[in-house]
Amino acid sequence: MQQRRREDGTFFLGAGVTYSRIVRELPQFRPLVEAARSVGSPQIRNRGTVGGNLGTASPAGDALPVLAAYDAEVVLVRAGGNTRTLPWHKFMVGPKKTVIDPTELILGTQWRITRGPGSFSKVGPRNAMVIAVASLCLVLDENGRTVRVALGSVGPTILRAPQAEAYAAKALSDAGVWDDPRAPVPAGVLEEFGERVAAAARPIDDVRGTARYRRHACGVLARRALRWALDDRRR
Amino acid sequence: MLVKTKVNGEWRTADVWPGASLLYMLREHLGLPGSKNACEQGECGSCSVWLDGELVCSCLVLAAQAHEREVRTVEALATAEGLHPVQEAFVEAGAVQCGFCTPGLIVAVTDLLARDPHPSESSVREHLSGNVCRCTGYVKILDAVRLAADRMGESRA
Repeated sequence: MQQRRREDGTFFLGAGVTYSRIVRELPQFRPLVEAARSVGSPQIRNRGTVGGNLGTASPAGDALPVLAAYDAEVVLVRAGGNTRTLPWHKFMVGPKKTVIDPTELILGTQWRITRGPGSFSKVGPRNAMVIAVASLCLVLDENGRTVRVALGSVGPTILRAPQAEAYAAKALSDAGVWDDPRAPVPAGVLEEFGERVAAAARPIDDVRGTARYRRHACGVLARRALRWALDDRRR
Repeated sequence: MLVKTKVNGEWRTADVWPGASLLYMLREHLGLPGSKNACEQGECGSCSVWLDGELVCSCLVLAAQAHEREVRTVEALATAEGLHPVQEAFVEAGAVQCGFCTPGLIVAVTDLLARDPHPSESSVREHLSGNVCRCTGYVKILDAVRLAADRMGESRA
């Protein structure tokens, strides 16, 4: 559970690896590092783990949108050593609800390593010690030529935005951006992408924010995240 | 249950309820009330200690999780010769108002300066983001961090 390792293009992150260790040791996974750095405080990051985020299965878990955007799997183990592996969305099935059996432990999470820029961003009343009002992870997969977006804190569980993802991938394809990072992206693509991501949110009003604000925030975060990713590709 | 922990360099044993926090063990069993009990949910940092050299909120660590491990508390900082430079800096800068957050802040600042002797303003703010002062004396606290960093830098040179 303390392990992290790379094997045949797959990365395994043990459930017991703390957020502080992720920030220090895994700079190659930038969105994950950005999410880890936004968790609680240094004291909390020295104790808290992605395994904890998964077990709690709060829609506001900071690492969870990143795992969703990575298409990560959750590895469970039971006494005797038998393991089973579930896609993230088959493991977390509702607010603070997972399908883990009382006899199982979360061993860790694993994902196929992709190439391309990405980011994690989060809205909250301050920079530290904040439970997300809305959060978003965007990842570009250069090889698959896909865009992946996951949303946190705006639905009963983490949400992907498949329609927005397909729209963005096609828009970048039509503009020739996948082949030429400097090719211009037509006006309106970022806005349209933001609107489609916002449409994928299923937010509620609660003590941390209104549904309307959360949906709006999703659009803004999505637009910015795609802009950052396109800018990163030009470097 | 019996928990055996190396606290400030000395092996100590306490017979605690299995659900007891490390903070409770330190304060109520081991006579170390320096770490303060405020929010009890990791929000305020008043109970900050080192567990195997890592800064943690002792309210969020079970006493049992500290079994066979090493804990260092704010009480370890002052010596017979006097206060730790961070403590001195807090006194001189007037960074103490009611004092309840002070032990946690002293521990967090000492942790920061051990890792980064000349931290930038933003590093200081990030490292102290888990320590809350409700007298809102943050400006003087930041002054104290700079003063301590300068002093400790000089003594190293």
